[in-house]
Amino acid sequence: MKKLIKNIFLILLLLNFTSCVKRNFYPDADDPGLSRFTSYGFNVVTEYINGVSYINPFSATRGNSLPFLRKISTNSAFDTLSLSWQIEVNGTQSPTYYFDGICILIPVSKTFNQNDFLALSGQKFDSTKSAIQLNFGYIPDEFPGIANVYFVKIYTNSNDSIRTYTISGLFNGNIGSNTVITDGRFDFQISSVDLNF
Amino acid sequence: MKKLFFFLSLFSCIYFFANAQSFLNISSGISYDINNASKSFYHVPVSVQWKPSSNPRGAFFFELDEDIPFTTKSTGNAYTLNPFLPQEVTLQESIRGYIFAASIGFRVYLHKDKKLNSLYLNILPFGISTQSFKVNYKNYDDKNYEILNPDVNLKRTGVVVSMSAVYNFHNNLMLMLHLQSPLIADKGDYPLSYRFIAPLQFSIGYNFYYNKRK
Repeated sequence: MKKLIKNIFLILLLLNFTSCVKRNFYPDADDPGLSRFTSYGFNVVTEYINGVSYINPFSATRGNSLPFLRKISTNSAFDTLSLSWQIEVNGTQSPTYYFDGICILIPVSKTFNQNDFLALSGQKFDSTKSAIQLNFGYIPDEFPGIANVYFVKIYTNSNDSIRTYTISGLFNGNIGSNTVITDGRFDFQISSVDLNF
Repeated sequence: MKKLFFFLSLFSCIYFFANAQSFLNISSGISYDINNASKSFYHVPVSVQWKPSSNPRGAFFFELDEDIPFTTKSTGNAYTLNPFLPQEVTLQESIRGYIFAASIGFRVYLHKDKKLNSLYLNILPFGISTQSFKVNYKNYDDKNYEILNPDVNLKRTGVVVSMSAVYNFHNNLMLMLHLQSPLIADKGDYPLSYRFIAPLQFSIGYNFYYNKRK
């Protein structure tokens, strides 16, 4: 009897470890290669690169891969706000993707903080103010392209020092004439503890 | 149109060929949804009840309900990166929620007066229902704009329970107040602005008696 209980316990433990997470991807009825444009913190980002649909990778145990949001100090009058994420061809879920990540770069003041970040909600940055960069492998590209970014909605769920930000927006851009990014949309949730500003 | 034909065919078959039935009732009125707080769905319900037994007390019956929807209005916001267009527009959203339900139940007589007017309770502990929501955004320019948190079409079939209070008067006329539960079905994990409909119907109908006990 004890052995049976032990075995059941082991099976339950194994099931717990192998429990799967569902991918947050809700196909847009007008464009099934893209996920719907949402602001629920689904941690999903989709876009077309040269007509091919891309999405951030997914792990059955950890869910959709998370973005990185950080401020990069520079020697110029402005610092740079960098929002980046990994990508793979939508529908493949294999490691053989061509691009490794996308990085949106926006100039911000040296004193940029989380309140300033919240104030970006509803702001649009055209290609004269922001740059979009595609990373090949793990080495940042030396020649960032131009981008249009629209932070449609940024909000937080609390006033505590540790809080969660939900960020949703639209973007497009190009790097030269060879790489064109269109119809980009993101819906991220980022914890304040992961921010360096 | 197909469903109307179905109802008429059913009615004709039961009325002309089923000699053992007690009555067939057809009713219609207005229906109000009590499960959606932010937006409510109104319908014109068409109900058909068939009580096959001639026993006036404690008999089971079948019920078919088709709810023809009015359009429910709402709004949605859409955004664009195109610098030559307004960066945000508000769109008029319309949702139509279609309901069809087939239920089985029994009736409990509560009161009968000298004029043979009667009040009874219909309890329908099991029903199969389909709810279908059609969402449309008016003048949506899907080439240039993206709707934030869009509602989408949904069609689900599941189990419902319902109950109604019925007052029979003037021999063949009836008034009915009918409440149906929301659909017990998986709505999916995508958040929608609407929930399954729980229609509260107020209707007036007519009883076609046959094989009436004397």
